[in-house]
Amino acid sequence: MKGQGSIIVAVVFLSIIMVSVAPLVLHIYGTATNMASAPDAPVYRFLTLQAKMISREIVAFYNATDSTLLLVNRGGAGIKVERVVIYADCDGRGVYIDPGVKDLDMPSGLEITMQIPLPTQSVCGNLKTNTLYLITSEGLVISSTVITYEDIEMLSRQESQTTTIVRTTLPSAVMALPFKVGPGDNTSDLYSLLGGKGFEVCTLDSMENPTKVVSCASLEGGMKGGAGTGYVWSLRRVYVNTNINISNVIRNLWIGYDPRNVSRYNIVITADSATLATPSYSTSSPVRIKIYGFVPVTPQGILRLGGTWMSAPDQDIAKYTFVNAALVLNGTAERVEIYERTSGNETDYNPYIMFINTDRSRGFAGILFTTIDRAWGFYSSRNEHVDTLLDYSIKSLVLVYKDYSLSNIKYSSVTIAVNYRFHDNEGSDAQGTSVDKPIMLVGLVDASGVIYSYRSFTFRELTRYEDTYPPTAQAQSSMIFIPLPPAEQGEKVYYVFIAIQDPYHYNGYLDDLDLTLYIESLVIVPVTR
Amino acid sequence: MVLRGESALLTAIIFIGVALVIGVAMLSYFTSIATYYRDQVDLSSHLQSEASNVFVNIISYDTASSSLWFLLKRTDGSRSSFFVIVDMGSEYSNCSNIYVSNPYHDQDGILCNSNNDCVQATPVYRGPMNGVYVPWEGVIVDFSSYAKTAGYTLSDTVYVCRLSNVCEFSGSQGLCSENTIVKIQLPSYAGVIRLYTVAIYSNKPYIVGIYEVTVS
Repeated sequence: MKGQGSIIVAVVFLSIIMVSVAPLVLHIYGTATNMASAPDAPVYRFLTLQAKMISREIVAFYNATDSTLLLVNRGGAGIKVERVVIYADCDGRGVYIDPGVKDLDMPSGLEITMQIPLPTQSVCGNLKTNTLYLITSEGLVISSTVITYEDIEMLSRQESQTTTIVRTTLPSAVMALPFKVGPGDNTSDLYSLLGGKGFEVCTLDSMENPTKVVSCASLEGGMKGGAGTGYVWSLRRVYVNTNINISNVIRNLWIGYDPRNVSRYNIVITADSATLATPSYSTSSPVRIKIYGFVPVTPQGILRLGGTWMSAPDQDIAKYTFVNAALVLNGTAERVEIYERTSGNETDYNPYIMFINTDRSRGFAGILFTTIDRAWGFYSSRNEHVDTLLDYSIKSLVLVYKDYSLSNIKYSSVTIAVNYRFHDNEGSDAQGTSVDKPIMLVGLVDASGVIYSYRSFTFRELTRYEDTYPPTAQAQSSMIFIPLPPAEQGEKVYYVFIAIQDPYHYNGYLDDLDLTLYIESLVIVPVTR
Repeated sequence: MVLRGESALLTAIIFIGVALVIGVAMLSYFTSIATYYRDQVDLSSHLQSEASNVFVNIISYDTASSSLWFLLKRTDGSRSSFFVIVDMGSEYSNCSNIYVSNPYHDQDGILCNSNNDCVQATPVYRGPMNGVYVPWEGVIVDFSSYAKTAGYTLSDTVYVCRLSNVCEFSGSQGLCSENTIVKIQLPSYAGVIRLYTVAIYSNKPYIVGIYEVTVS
């Protein structure tokens, strides 16, 4: 038994060591092996503004003219747009706008068109949308293409110019007229509309032998009326978004599609007097009524003239001139302007001009200019029957197309194609005038306003292709070829202009004509060197 | 006789005492090691979770006003704030140049045009660069050494800014996956912008993500 005590002590000692240390060692060993690796270096990523994560599967197309967003998801999985952020200009200052669009579900395979609400004019004046960002719930940022009508025009031009580069012998065409208008464009003021479509509105230094284009941006007035005592068309009433119900005998009517929406119509009416049920208006004076965006409620047709319902506007814009018939017109209109003939000195061109198109090509506006108010006559009679309704220009209306310049370094010449229709109220045609005067001039003007060259269209030329009664305005087309100076003379830049006017005042029973001119298109075809 | 038995007892007591002393010493040694490792594990997992949970994406850079817009998002759905450092190329941005859009206070639809629809970032650290840490090559180094090695901007003062999560503004509870829209007002000369996402652990800021964007 001796020595057993030491063994017992050794066993107890080892047991204590094993019990207290071994589990600890095992625990620590286990902890150390299970321990995660040492912290990693920070995640490093480059973000570039070019890499805006435009997903090929998700296409966003924003139409800035009517604030609609088209979303197409072809990705095979639904996306959820959490927010929309717009980068826009407010009075020339860049701002980020949250239009309040939230949690928009976008299932795969579907297209969604939606209206994006924008701040009011008082908050953001002259809003111009630059970019639209869609932020998905995953944090993806989809940058949307913003398209304006100007972009579409520019794109089509670039495409045609690309063609020019590839096939240098072929020229490219640029369409100045008709121009594209959108629902946001104000077609009731020709000056602001044309200004926004690349035109500068000016006049000529001389109506018959012009050398310069002048008074750009400060053109006032331009139209007079009457023989002796001055008479003009005075704007008496403007109704916006109104019902309209007319049952009245009228003298003339010009009608075309509203270029902003071809399911509506733009109409000009003249009558010796008017009594309108809706909007309530009555006058015994001659009237000119301009109706924008007319939508008929009559199932039989757009309107009734005499006993005939009209189903569509006619391409011959003179067709409803001198109708002298009862008009029945019932529906709604976006805008109605009523002009009355009053004594006065001078007005601008607004009473005489309407933007219409005569075929259903969506969104393209041609220019209708008419000074005809009542009737036609001959060399031995007053054409309008009364002196007070004679109208004439004292300043030409010149539209300089500034959106496209022609440099003689790049181009050797230019061909300008103009399509138009003309009608007048002079039954004796050329015999009814004592002198031939230009009605329309088309040419080139340089940057300082000096006219380089032009082709004039005079009354006696134009009247050969129309019939005063029965009223017919034939489609006419002209190509004007203008060589540019040689490049060796240094660079000179030119712009295309078109001038229109009614130059005939009166001279007894001669020269008392009024006219209608409809510019269907003005196309510039430059020829590269 | 008596002494012989006492000696064995004494020996046993001494052995047991030594065993206990060794046991306690080892216990405390291993406990402190374990605590240290646990701390490291916690730090590492916190940094990794912050690095993977904070998502950054650029929205736009407005050259006219020199403002950079981007979004921050927590992919874990939590409503906690974001911490960032903004390197403007030659210096670090003050927190007063950084804003979070609060859509719940936006009345007119235009972001950050009135006082209450954008919330200014608040500084949580302002001081020398060596008070900010970066996990790098398996160890934690100070930001100053890291920036020197990587060729990033060196400055006397660096600002760690707290950006409210937009989920804090909504007033609702539970998981939240909304994107926070942030605006940084930059100087006009800004070229390369680096946005560092930061995690705070034990009151110390650690850089967990670096995002670089060229704006000029």
